[in-house]
Amino acid sequence: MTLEAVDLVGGYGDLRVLWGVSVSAEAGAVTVVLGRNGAGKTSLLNAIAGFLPVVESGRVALDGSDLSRLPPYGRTRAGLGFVQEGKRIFRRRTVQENLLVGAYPLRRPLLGTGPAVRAALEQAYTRFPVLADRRRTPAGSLSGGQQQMLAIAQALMPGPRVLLLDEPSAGLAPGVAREVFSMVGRLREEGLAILLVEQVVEQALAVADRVVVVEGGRVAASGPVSEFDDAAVVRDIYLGRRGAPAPGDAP
Amino acid sequence: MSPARLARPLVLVGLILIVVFLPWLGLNDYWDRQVILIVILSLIVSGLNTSLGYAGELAVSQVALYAVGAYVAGYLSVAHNVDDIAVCLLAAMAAVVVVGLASGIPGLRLGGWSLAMVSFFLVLLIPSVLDLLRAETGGAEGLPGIPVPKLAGLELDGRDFYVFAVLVAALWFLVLRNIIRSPHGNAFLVLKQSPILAASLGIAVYRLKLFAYVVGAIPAGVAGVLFAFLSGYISPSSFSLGFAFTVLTASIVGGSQSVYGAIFGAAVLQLGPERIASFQSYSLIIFGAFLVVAGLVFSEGAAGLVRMLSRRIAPRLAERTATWTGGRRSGPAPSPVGGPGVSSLPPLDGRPLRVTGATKVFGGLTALDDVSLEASPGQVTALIGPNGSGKTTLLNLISGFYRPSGGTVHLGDTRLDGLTPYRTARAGVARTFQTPLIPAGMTTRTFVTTGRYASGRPAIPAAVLRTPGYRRKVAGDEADASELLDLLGIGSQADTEVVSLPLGTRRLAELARCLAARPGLFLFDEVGSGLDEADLHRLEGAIDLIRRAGGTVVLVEHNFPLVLKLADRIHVLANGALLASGTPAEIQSDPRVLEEYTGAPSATETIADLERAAAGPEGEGR
Amino acid sequence: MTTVWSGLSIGALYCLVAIGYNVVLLASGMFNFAYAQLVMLGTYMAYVATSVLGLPVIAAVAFGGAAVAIIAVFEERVAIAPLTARHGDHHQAALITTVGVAVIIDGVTSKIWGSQAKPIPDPIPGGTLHLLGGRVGRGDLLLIGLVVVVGVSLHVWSRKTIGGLASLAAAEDTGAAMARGVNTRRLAVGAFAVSGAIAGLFDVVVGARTYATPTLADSLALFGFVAIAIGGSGSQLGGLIGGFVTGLAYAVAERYTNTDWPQVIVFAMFLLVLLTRPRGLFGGAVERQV
Repeated sequence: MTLEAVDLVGGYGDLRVLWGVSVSAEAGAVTVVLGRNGAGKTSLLNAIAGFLPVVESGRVALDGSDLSRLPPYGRTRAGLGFVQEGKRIFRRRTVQENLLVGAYPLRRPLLGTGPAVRAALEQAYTRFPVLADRRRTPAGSLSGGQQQMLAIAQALMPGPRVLLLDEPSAGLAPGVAREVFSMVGRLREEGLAILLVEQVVEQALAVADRVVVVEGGRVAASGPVSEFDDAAVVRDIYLGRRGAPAPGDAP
Repeated sequence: MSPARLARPLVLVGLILIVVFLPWLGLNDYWDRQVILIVILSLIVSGLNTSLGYAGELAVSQVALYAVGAYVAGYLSVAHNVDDIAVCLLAAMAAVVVVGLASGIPGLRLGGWSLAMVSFFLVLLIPSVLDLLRAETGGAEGLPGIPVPKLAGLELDGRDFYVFAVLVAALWFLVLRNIIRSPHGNAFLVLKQSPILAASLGIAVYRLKLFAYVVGAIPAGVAGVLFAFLSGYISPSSFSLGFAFTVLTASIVGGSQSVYGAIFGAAVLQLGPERIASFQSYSLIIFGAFLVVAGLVFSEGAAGLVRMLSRRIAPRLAERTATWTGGRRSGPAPSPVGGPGVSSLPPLDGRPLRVTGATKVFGGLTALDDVSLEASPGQVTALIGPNGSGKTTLLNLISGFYRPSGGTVHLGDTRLDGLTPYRTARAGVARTFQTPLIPAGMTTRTFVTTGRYASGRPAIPAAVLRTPGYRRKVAGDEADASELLDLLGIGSQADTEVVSLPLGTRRLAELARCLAARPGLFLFDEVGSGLDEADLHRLEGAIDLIRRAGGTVVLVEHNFPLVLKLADRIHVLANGALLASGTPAEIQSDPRVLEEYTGAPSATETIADLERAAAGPEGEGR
Repeated sequence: MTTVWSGLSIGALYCLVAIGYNVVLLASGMFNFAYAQLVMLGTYMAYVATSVLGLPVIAAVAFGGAAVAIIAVFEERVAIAPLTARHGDHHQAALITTVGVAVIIDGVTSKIWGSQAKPIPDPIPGGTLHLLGGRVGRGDLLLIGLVVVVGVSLHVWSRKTIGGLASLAAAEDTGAAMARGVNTRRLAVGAFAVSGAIAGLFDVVVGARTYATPTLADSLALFGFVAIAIGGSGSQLGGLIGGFVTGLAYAVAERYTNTDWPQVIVFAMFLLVLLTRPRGLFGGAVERQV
């Protein structure tokens, strides 16, 4: 396993939102995390990336080395690429400046960019030609789909081994969302381990290799995508019925 | 009223009388003067507290206003022989209000550092301004020969002046107390917690801050007059930046948010340097260290320490009680909504909401694209859609937090678009927030009464004088709040601190707060999220009550089953545009809606099918 | 023209303070109220190095740079870091703690060195030059030149290097910058160190002009802030322009009125800017998001 998160327990202040969640992601495969709003999907990604304010117990490991004690930027440097919810790009900076910030963990001279950064930039523009045409555009004035692409491109700059994607299709028109999912598929082909949190079930399942359903801060079900009959999954997740924990367990 | 509450004013009056008669109880002249100096300092500190503690803005301009007060008195008495202290006080108050407005209006536009800097600048300017007005103020040499003041022809000498100073200060603290313990003081607490909540309750944030700042100028001006007559000689050296730091430290020592903490802080800072010889030369270092520590650790001073301790102990006791009685972690379980005997609200004057062509563009992003919808009184209108579909944007647009890029919003005949949030609230819009915004330091009942601020608040003079009309209004608000809490089944929590309530009860308290406003429109933003079955059930009951009373309800919600149960009409948003509108039955059988939710390009199933399947053997079978 | 030169050289001091404010603002979004005190400390370091220890100018500059940088880092550790470690809005608290640090530095300097001004020898003696129809001291010219060089290079650094862009990014959205691998905590400490080092490296150049006096900082702090208000916070170029404009206004007022007016006039200018252009003359408008 490339990424392994084991028994994560944590939350915000007194409020516990994860009650022992384990997920993993394998190189060249997509693990999709599904669940209702408030089920703990985003908190799970935050816990893995080091952003959850309180993590009481559990372990996050990347290729066997323990990340649990690292701050968020340490985890990024160790090879975790995190695309946060809501297109958290730097809106006042241009596309190219955003990508350069993404290259921060790469080896580079104090002034100027250096070969590693230039190569990463080149690759980003090859992967995302829309961005190449808008290098000098302030990121805040890109369309929603372009902003999402920029956010992904930014996370890919340092060459991560794992990509964590938090609802990349949120707020995008169906056609644009399809583009995002096809990009996810291509990144899988390139051998990245991908952990994808989604609420657009059908399209997420189309790119998934494994599925994890989270409910009430716990894993309600998990397994290879073949075990998840489409309609049933949609129903169960959407109506919150799949193996919901007994009432009273949740905070 | 409890005996403790009755006894409190008596204790205060007793304390004031004791201080007033101290000279006759053997206080010598030295101490006599010390007490007056403490009184003067406490007035300035109290002025600082109104902006730092209540409005939450750091400004040390009180020192400049203190100088203004002192020089107005000095100038009037020396140059024009006006030695009636009452006349001087009135003139000084007028002058400081003018200076307060002139510095507060630009400074508070931005608040924070800008206001702080404007205020430091004001203090730094004192010597220059005094020098420019050398003819009137004596410039750097100071202004000597300020006479003994008179009051209605009687000379206020020695002990008379002492009594006068103490009574003036007592009067100020009474006025301040009456403002703080009134709906306006509650508005300050709300503001401190969240300016967004404040605006949504109809509180004009900027004006309230300006009000606090200008009110804070008055005691500083009064203190200046007292100081001028006490010392008989004033010079720029009494109004230095160093003195500003003394005042700031005194405020923080006593607790900026406490009415009487100012007196404690002033006493410490007045007597400390006098008592401890080496204090003087290290005073700046000590003040600075105190500011750093106070900023880092406890921001509420001595008064806050007491409050914090009582807060730490009280919940622990409550918890213990809960375990003894076998109650849930959330405390006593609320009784069902509209419990025995109460099953309806008095009629609400709900008004129709009409949104036409609403559009909102952020940068290059169209968050809301030409959305038109209506919501009628006596109906629950639900807005659903996936994350990022524009639901909350629309809500923020209706409640005035966003200005529409296009389109109009009408509530009845009132046009809402373009109004600021607090004007929107006053026009009859009440809303809740996804994460409940709950101010610290007030009971659930008081929290509910803050809902009334938008529809009507007592005038400040009435609050200061505690007029019968004011008392009636406040008592009426509180009775109304209690009634609403009873109606929603959480009457037993009326005296609990609202921040200590569990989430479900908080949401009901927010609903009660909205109801207290008797608004023309209720906007509920994700009220159901994070609630368990029992809480959800109570919430449904409460919303149903509002509908049956004729309220206009707009519900933004993720929880589809809840929406199906409650809504009369449903509007589905997707990518900022209206995808479908209709009754729950129509929406359930609309294939486009399911597609939007699941991404299935040609779903044959509809949500109705899913519901049917879910209601099968493994369903809950409601 | 002499008035213009004198305005530019006073303005250079305000620019220097504005630069220090901006370095920290751009890296962490925090406002370091005590920065003018750090500049003042620099002048005392210059006094200690030149008059007490008898070091040559170059050594005095290095000594000042190191000493003030260390003190600035200490300030960050004590007064800022504990605030950023906890959640919520800490700008108001940072205002109080950095004011506290400013007061402590004021207290310490007057405790150690008293209220008498301490002279610092001019690094380039040789009096005044006639330039463009006005008289200007060589030291003043050096100060103006160095401030412009430092301000412009910081501006270029923040726009053209990855480290600089990361700093801008951290000021815009700390969480997102952390997700991109930016060590925002080290960036915040680094900003204090750099701003402190700048204050210290200017020790002799500033000190020769102002002398080391304990009252220097208060007015510098305010005029530096006026420079930022005019230039728009977070813009190094704006800060430079704001500083020189403020200095020129001061010098012109001083030339044509008596000594009490300049402060009042600058204050009026400050209020006017706050009222009419609250984001500064060079700051763009940003819509508030709920």
